[in-house]
Amino acid sequence: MAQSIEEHIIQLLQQNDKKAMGLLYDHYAASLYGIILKVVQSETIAQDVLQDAFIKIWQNGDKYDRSKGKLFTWLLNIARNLAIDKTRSANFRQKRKIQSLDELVITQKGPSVENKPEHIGLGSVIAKLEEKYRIIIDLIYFQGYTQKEVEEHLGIPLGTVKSRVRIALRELRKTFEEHNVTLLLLVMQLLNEHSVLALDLITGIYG
Amino acid sequence: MDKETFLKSGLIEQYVLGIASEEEAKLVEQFADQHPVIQQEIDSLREGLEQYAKQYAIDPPDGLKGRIMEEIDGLDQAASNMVAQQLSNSQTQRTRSNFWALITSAAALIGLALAFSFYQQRNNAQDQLAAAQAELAMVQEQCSKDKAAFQQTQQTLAFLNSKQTLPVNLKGSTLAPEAVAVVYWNSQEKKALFNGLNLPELPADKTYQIWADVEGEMINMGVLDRTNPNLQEVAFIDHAESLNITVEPKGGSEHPTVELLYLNGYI
Repeated sequence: MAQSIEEHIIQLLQQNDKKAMGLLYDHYAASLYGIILKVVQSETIAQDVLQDAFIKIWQNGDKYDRSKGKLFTWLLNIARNLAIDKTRSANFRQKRKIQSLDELVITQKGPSVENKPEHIGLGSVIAKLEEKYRIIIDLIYFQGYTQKEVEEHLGIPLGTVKSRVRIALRELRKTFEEHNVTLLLLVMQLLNEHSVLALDLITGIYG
Repeated sequence: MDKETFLKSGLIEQYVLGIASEEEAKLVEQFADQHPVIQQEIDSLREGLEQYAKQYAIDPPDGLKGRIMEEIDGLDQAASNMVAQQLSNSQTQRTRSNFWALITSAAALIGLALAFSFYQQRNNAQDQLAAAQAELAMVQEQCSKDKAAFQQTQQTLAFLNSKQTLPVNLKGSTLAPEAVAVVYWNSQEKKALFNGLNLPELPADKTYQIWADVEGEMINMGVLDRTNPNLQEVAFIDHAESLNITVEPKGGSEHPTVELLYLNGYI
């Protein structure tokens, strides 16, 4: 099987080849931008943070250690950390206040899946995650709260916060595992009918 | 801690969410190295979370890619220039002292460049801050103006709605049968507001003036501004029996020109 795009990018990145950045942008910018936007809740700030993230990725490309996790995990953590740092910077709140007067922010909107064909069929995931779990994941993962801060913010006991964190992560895993099974069944069904098409689909997903 | 306790400790979840402390993270990584089950647990929980995060994917605006790639090109350019300069510096070295002189001056140059760039960055930041502060001040000023206007309106509304406020309708005399005006009369607050609903236009050298009739004596309540679209405050006169509007020379008179009585109404 041909080298996966992730492998290819890692190789280019380690060779300090700038082509890596173009490919990274094409494959990951939408995901990273969406996450950053979710954190900073302003399009102009999100664009700055995305730019900072790509520069950091480029400058630290040789530090990526694949034994510690997937490429996307590494990228996502860089973007997310920069975004959360931004929300804690001194003039962020003031800037946000002024901007919110003339900039309509799309933050309260749910996740957009319509323009990402690979996510077809996943749109219901968030709907499936109960509100009380979703809030906790959003506060901790996207707003950088500690569990203690969640306790204070939501006024629920720390023990409850911790158990909800555990349940939330398990629920998310379950949902995506179910999704993978559905995909597998789909592939098998396709194999019976159109073997060529199915092969395309497999390389599309796992290639 | 054994494997089962560790799985239940909640540390893995904190690690995956990125809220574990440095020591905790180290501990989790140690366990993961020793127990493939724990590594699996981390991977699968993280996968679920990342798939969830990907749900928020949204295409960045067109043109951002170009901007970012340009920025990266710029960084590279600067870096390679520095390397090239250092190379040529070392090639031209003749003596030991010359070499050190070059190194020192290169360091000084880099220091200067850095200082200049920090200086510019600081200036930019100050400009941005000043702009933001100016904008904030403008918004605050507008806000306090609006607030004052709003309070004024609220006070007027409260006055008009008060049980003690009596609307006095003034009707046109034979000189101006169409004319209509209202004075809102509140003897408790000793306050009167005039509203000229329909007053005929006057020559430029004439003006309307309002008078209170107290036991046959006409007391001046003020000159009226016909063009004022708002309620106009006029003098409140105790024991007024009726209100009368006459036409007077511009600036008003001390005594009413009774022949030019345009409107009147009884309290």
